[in-house]
Amino acid sequence: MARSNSIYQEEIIPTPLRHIWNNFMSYPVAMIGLWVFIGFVVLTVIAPFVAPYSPELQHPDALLFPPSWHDDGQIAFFLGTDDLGRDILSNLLHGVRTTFGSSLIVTIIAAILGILIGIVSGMSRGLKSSMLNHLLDATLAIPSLLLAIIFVAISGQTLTNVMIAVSIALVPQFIRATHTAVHHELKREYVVAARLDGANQFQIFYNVILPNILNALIVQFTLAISIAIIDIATLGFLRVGAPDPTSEWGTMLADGVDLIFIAPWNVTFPGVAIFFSVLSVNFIGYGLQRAVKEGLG
Amino acid sequence: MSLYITRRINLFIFTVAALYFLVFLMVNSLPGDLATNLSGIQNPTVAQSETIVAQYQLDKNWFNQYISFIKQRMNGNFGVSFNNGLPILDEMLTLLPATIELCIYAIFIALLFGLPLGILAAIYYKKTADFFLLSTSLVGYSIPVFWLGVIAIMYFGLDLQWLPVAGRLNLLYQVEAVTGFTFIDIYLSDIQYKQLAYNDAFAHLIMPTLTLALIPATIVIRITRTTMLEELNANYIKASEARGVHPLIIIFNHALPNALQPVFSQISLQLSTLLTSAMVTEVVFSWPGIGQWLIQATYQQDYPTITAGILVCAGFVILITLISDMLLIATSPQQRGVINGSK
Repeated sequence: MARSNSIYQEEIIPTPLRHIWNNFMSYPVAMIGLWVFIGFVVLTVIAPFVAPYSPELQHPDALLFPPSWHDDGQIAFFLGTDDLGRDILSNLLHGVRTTFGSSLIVTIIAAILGILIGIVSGMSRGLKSSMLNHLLDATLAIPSLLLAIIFVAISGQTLTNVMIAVSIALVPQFIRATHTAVHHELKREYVVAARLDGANQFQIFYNVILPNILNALIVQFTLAISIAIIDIATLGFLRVGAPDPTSEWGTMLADGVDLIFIAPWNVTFPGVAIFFSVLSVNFIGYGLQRAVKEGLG
Repeated sequence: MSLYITRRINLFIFTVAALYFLVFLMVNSLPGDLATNLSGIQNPTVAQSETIVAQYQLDKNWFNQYISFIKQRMNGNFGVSFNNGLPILDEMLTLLPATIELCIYAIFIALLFGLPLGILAAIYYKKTADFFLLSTSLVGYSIPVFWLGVIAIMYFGLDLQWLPVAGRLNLLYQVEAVTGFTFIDIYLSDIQYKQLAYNDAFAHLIMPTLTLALIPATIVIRITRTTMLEELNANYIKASEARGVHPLIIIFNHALPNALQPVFSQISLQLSTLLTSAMVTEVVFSWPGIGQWLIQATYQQDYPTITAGILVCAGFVILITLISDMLLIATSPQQRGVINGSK
């Protein structure tokens, strides 16, 4: 499979990452997930330009319109309107930015911080390592959402604070994943061989360990994105998320709960949006996990 | 074994100390007066503030403060709530059973459905049943808890009117809270229509429990599937197959006991996630538990309640992890060498 079919019988052995990518591409569900994910990323960029209305624009003569395929619906408001006459589709499209886009940023920040600390704690031994470990155990025992809620409650309700809170909640998981991976690799014989060759700590990490833990980190990264989306939406649902004029899927859902009996579409569509974004990320994560497992046997 | 237990308990004490340290740092960084945030007494009298300073050693250095903070909390002095001035411990003890009840039932349901389905998926590896179960579990894992709860309320509570949408028990049944667990309380009480009360409590439980159980169940399915697959591919299974042992005996007597251990250790790691979703479930279904209470407390910036909640929730998670580790080691000797570090 790894061999090329050219007439020169050249053997091209793909790099581990290339190998994982090839495996990943052969798995249709994962590819669907990836395309949906790319679609969401594109929407994050172009949402304000494709949304039919401004998200705050209220239509006083079009309150609580059902979706357009309903008998009472209008095509001007494709997914209907809420109790203030705001177009749900426009709100959803702007919400891609807050919920999906900021969860990407949050995960990247948390990944950088968590992986750096994880490397330090994974490479160190003795007292320093065990102290870091116990602190980490204690932080991991605190329910992550509780930590985020408290942070927002104390530091004030802005989108930036929500993002900081969610990344604080994510960092310990990254540290744990990196720490475990590094620690696991350190015991391998090829690391000992590199050390016998006279490599210093940094060389051992960068040239020897990093290529072997990269796949574990990528899997953790996709997992963290789905957690970040759900956490941001949950904070919104509990009304400690992004402040009011910002369109956010969780907040939209919470607003819709009061109207659930007369206008169920106010609850359904934001939920569907959260569900599909998380599902696409989870499909990618599962495909990657499978590709890593099969690729490295 | 005794060496392991000593090591593990040592670790437990250090982890709890680290947790207290984190919370202590948090209390110090909270806005407002430190004495007020620690004790919860707003505008204390001179005598009160002297007691607070003495209790928490606020005139000494930070290390003394930290130690006396641990001492006070360990003695059950969590201060009083900003909100109603009542001792936090009493309130917490009435609310904690409701949350524990919900979590226990949810884990039970998750195992009840997750284990057999996971085994089934492993047996039919890469067949239609496996594919179906795996994709269902991925889909189930992606549903946000609060959305599921709201949708369930919409259909089963409002549209079909099959199930009650909020609370633990209809107010018609005046059951005195003795233990805090509904079924035990009904059993202990002397009300007239016990059977009806049981039915009512059960109806109230169905939706929150199933909502909360969905995500753990999907996790259990996937972990069980993975570990079962590993066991089923092991050499001793092939040897038993070659000897002509019945497939059911192989699966249930040989492979399953070995596959279960990693499942349980993974579940104990998921406990803090479960508590998080329990908090959201409680808010959606107005379940009078500790999660809803904590979220109300954050709305009201009730700092003593928040710190107490963190300490209790995290302490609970650490304790359960300790117990499950102990049980794991007690039942599987091959794990001891690894964790002792002797290997």
